[in-house]
Amino acid sequence: MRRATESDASRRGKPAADAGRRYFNLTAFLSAFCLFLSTIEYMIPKPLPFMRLGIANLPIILALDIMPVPQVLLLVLLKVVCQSLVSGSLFSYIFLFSFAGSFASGLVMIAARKAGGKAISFVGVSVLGAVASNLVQIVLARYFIFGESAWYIGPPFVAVGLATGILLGLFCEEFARRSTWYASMKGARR
Amino acid sequence: MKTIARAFREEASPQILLASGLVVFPAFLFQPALSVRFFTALVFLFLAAAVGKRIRPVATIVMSASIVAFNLIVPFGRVLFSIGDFRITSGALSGGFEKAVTIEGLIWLSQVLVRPDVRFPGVSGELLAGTFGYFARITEERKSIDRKDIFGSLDALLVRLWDEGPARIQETAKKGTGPGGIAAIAALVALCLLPYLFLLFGPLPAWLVWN
Repeated sequence: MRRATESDASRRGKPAADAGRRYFNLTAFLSAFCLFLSTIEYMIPKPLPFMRLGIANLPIILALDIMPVPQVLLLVLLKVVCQSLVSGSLFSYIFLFSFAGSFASGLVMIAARKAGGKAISFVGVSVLGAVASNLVQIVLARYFIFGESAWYIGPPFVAVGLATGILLGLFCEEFARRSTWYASMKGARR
Repeated sequence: MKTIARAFREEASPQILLASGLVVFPAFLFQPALSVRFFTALVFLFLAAAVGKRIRPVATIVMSASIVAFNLIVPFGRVLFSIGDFRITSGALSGGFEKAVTIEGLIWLSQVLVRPDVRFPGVSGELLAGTFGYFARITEERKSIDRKDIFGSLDALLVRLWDEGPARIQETAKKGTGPGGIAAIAALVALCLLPYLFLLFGPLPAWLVWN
């Protein structure tokens, strides 16, 4: 009787353990993808050194439909920490800006996807995330770097965020439609 | 330069370097004397260059100039001079300079003390190792991403790498921190902490008072 109970428990526990291991690997896989995209972004010339295009957020947007919320947040954390380890910016304001912007963006995108479901496209999710990230970073810039003058850079900063958010969202829509890998990940979650 | 690079890169473990940053970082950030902070930042710049980090002078100058310029928009303190109707004030100028020095100094400090081969114990360490393992494989295979078929080639890459799993990261030999590494870290910590002791004994000499 006792042996049968243990066996049942292990049978019930195995799929959960497998799923946990799969999400663990998927989190590492997507954060590596974020890291790769951030190195590509680093190589793209920009008019201002602190300007960001946000292409490293692509895996996070894709993760919204294939991972549970805690894993998406873990992915955001891993992205920020790994970026700061590779670029060596852990003890700088860059880390603070990246951390705050990424979490604001991540939380808004999760909320938008959960609340809107299929009614809100990846373009909408991406734009909301980009705007949230930019707004939080402007507020930080107000207190840590530029003072009151930070409000002057607000409009162009948000405009760039809108444009890059739309482009990133369009890319995600198309990739999600065509990708066999993404389809298999969605299928595995169901 | 080579001795400094060896001390920080080969004779100091990445974990010890990261831990020393927890002391150096606040000591630099909260240094009240702008002049001391400026000279400390210059030392960080020298060390970052010595350990082989790429220093980008144009980006540094543009970043610093933009921080100072944005601070000047809101006047504060004594008017130094005017350009047309635009007044350059002492408080706004020194405030902008202080922020620029702090931001650049922290970037250089991070470049010296934070290394990608730092390892953490437990699940978080396993997750980081997995991430860097996959990252190594993606970087190796990056040329398979075709610009003419970005979606197809990227999808094929993801399928292949997901099936194969992360690359095993070469474990660096687990060696402790050597005498050179201890000396380098101690010197850096002293550099940031000693000015506080001097400030306890009285004001700075006039030539070091900038703010």
